[in-house]
Amino acid sequence: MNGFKVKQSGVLSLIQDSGRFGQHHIGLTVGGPMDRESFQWANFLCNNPENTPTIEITLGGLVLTADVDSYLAVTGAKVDIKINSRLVNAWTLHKIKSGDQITLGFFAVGTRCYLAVPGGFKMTPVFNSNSTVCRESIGGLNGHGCALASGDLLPCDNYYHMPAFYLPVSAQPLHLKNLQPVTTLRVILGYQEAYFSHQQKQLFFRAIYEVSELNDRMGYRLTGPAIAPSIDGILSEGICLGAIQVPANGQPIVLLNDRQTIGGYPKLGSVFSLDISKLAQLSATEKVRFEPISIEDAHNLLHLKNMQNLRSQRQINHNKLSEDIENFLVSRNLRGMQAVSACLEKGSYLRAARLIHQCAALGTVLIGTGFPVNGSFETDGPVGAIALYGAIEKLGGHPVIVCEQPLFDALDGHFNAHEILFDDDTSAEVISIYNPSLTISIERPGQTDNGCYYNMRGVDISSKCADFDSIMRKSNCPTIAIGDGGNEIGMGNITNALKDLDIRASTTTCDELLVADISNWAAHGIIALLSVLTAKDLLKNWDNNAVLQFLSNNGSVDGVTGENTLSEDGLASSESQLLVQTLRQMTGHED
Amino acid sequence: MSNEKFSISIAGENALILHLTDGISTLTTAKIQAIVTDLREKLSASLIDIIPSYASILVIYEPLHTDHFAVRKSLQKAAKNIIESRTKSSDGISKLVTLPAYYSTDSGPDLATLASEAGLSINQVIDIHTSTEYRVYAIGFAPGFAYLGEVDQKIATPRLATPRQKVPRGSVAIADRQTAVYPAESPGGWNIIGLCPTLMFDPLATPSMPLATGDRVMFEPITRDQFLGLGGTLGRFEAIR
Repeated sequence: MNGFKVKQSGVLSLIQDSGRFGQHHIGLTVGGPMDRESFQWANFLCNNPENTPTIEITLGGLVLTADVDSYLAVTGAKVDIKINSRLVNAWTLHKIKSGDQITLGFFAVGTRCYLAVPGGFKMTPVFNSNSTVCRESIGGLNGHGCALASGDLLPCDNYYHMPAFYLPVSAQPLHLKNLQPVTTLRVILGYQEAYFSHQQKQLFFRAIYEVSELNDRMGYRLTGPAIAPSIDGILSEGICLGAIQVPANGQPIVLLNDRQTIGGYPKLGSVFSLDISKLAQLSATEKVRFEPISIEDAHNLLHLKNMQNLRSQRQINHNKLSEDIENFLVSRNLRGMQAVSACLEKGSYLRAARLIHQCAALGTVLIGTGFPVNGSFETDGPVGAIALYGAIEKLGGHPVIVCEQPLFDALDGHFNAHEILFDDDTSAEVISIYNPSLTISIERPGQTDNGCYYNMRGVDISSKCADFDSIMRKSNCPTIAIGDGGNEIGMGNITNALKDLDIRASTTTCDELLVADISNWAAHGIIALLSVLTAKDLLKNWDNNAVLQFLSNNGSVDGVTGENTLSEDGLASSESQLLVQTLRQMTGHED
Repeated sequence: MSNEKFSISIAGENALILHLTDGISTLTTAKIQAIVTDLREKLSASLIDIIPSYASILVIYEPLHTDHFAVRKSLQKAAKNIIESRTKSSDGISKLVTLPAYYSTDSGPDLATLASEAGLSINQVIDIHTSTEYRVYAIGFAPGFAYLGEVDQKIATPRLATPRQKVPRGSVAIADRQTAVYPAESPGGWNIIGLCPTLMFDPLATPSMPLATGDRVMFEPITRDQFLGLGGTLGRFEAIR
């Protein structure tokens, strides 16, 4: 099997998954990641379930060589990460090719890093976990609790297409960016707290303690003011994560992942789990202080953290993917949309996809399309409208395509469609009939400052255009508009950016404007992100040729050539099909 | 009053600890076993782990599924039902396990000292150790390490002043009124009086250890040949003396 080969194991590198649970009754400890927060992010960045084996690297120095095509992410302590000779960012998913060498330096801030790969490292679990506990000789690569050693092969699967996930700097843990002079650890009082007098507790919570040399995965011994409980020992009892035990010398010990399951020293309570991630990044001579917190506050914080994590997982990572898609869709720059795209706030495709995701199931989604060319309608617009129509139906929504003749006759009977008439503002009627939850315009000519419509050659086409602009303006719901030239509905959002283009720009605005080299492609781009948001491969069965054939049979023409061909803006259908395939790969879907 | 028989305290953000106030006894152990069985069933989905010990049960729960009020209520109910019921020390799944032990000065470096300090002969120490029926009061310290009690007062001996860096697997040892078999080579400060050839912890076996909390245990003296015949080894032990 392929995988990563350990060239240098560093100071201490251990396989860790979430931990070994449910085995305390036979004396097995939990193990698992000391800094759970960084561990979780390493797996989230790889799109892994939380309980996936990673490498926990203590202090640094790990060097791996890839014998696999995959990806990897490193989170946690501040460290130089090199792929071959190239320095790369932490908290980011990087593509790895077979033969690449991955080098972790020694840590600048913090003591522990997590290295994850998509699908995780593959090995046989012991007591349902791969977590390595050296003291128990359990878990890890061969099951015997060994740390990684040079020459070890860490088996994993090939991955060729993953979204370029990263955690923005603003969302990365602050304490790992800069060393804090004193780390505050919140404490839930409990266990034998009644045997610690008021004075002893005051002393404990006012003091600053130093992490001693005796700090490892079992626990952190601290040095500072001695605390004296009124009892020496107790009958050995179960110890939970973070328990603060006070032995005879009064110097507190915070018990961590590899702790003994039972013990007989008096305990004051336990450190809050979210702060254990911070403690686990400290080394000898670094300072901590304690602060009491109620169990209710602790639970509240855990719930908030969970919600924040879920939201971050769903959204923060997707911003980069959206930007990549936005850049990809204007990469040919057929009509100057690269410069226009640069003027839009990044993440427009993601915001549009979220709007559709949120609004689709709430009611009717109006999709306006149709650009008159040569007495007919062009293929750009309707193809995208049909793609969006299908996606919205799959999300449980009710799409209606709004257009004028002759496109209406082509679509009516095959799709829910509504005909708008020439020289007539029917917006009030349309809105009252459908009460839309979302209105989308894709490649619809938009009114200019004089109220007329112009094609890309500057010819007045007002007599061939019905008024969808008013529906966009008056819809009491969010609006999305897509264009590829500057004369379409929605371009009113960026009048200044269109000044340099040779086009009679539209002044009709929208809530979210999307641009692409060909408007139909924008529809596929949105659907690619909808696939990510819904975890459904919505582009999987897209057959571009079949849709073009249907439109062609009903008299469509290519918007650039004016010919009745299976093409969009002069490009063959296969180009769009290839683009859809690339979008699927970018979003992690592949055949 | 039943509420004087136990107390429930917070241990950490997701852990509560139940203490039975009667202290160590075979009856307490039987009650703890019964409560653990009940809690495993009642808390099922919210339960992350549970640690029974001499006179306490630590319950670790999933705080995103439940809260300490609900878990406390379940604990209270289980404890009340079982403590008020006529649970006897012999109730529950309490099997008798016999562990062979090779007692000698070869296999037990502290046997002679222990005997002389107790004012007994080596054979008397062996007789006393093998004639008592022990209970597994707790499992912990290391995987498969079972704390057995109670050792006869006559041979009860405090821990060594300086713990050994390495105690061989299978060491039969005494500390105060407890006895145990070291399941693996580890540091240790108990007085070693013999070696047991039975594997006390085997991750590949099901169950992975021959004992569970609450089980009854007796030691049976065996000869050196029997010990070697059962797969015991003396080599490792001699190496660390």
